[in-house]
Amino acid sequence: MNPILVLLKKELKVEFRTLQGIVPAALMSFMILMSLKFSIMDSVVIEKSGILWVSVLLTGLGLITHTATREIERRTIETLKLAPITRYQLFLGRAFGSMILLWILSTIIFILFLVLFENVFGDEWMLAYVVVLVGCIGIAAVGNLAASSMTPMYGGWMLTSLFAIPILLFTVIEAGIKCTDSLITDSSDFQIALTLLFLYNMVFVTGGAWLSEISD
Amino acid sequence: MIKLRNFFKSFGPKNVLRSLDLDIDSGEIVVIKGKNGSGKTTLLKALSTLEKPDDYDLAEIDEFDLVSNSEEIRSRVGFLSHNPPFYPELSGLENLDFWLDLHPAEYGLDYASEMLAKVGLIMFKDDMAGNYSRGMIQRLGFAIAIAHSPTTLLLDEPFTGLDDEGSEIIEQHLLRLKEDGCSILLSSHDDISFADRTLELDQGALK
Repeated sequence: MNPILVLLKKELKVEFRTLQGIVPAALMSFMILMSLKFSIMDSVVIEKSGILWVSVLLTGLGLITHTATREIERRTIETLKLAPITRYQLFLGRAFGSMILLWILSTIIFILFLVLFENVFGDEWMLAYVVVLVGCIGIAAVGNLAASSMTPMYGGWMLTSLFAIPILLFTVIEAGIKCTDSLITDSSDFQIALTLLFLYNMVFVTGGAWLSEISD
Repeated sequence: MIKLRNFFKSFGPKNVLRSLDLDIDSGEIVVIKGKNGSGKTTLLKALSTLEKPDDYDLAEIDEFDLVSNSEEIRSRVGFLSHNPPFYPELSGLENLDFWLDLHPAEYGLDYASEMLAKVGLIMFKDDMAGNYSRGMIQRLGFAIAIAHSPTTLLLDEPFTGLDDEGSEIIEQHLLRLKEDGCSILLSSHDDISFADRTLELDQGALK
């Protein structure tokens, strides 16, 4: 079996046996959405989708940091580093594992968002959901790159987010918000924003794999 | 076969390995002894590619350079850490099968079960590794280290936590691997009667 698939399978098996990452992340996203629902009274803000993306970004990075920290604390990262696989395969295996977990988490967040904010997308909710799933690819790539560099350091769980958020905010998240907002306002920006989102994802996945390989 | 010449490794200002020369032939069992902090674990980790050397004139395993051919080295080396890492959510069999799946050769679950039987864990193969005792973890770690038939075996205090039966099992495997031409370097605080040579590491240099 391809080592990337082996790593992905392991990542999912370890998480689904305990649900130690997904459940707290889903609860955290519920808290974030609830807090924002009650604290933001400006209807212009509520009618747009930034709240959805902020929730996906913060809890998604928390989930990735959790899985990376787990690997470091148990020193199973040593086992992975001793395997006769390239560093880019190791990066992609872990990033795709995180991506699947983020897809599950985003599905929960998306449903909560639709319920709490009364489906601002109308008939386009399915397309908005697909856009969120596409955005998760970039978050998983940057999150994993940040986690593998930062988690071995003291306070690494915090540094991961500090490193990843500025990169993601002005790229994946901005493009994602433009995409989903254009579905709400029915503007013509959707295709450009979606193309940009795919482009950012491609840069982060290939860039992450390349950086992992040369940093060995 | 391991060859090191003028091998250096430091952590910050601390020189852990200093101008080390080492030769281990195929089919040779070499024990490395030394006080705590003498550099035994660092040497084993550097040979396994987990730690990068600072400088060296020659550092080869089976004539492959340790740094430029690290992927090839990793396929040839079996490494047992002093405290073997494992996934507690996976069974012993799943832990070993995961490790084997990361190798290019196809092994399969039957082979993994066979390896667990060889280290006396077959009765516990489907138990979660998180429920294993210290000695069982050591046996699982040893099975992981030898399962892909390495040509070089690096063992950091392999008898830690093992009962007499476990120690006997590992000794028998090491003697069999020696006959098959495997180069074995192990660190220990105790005398190892079946070793071909014992070296003393003192403050990063071999005596």
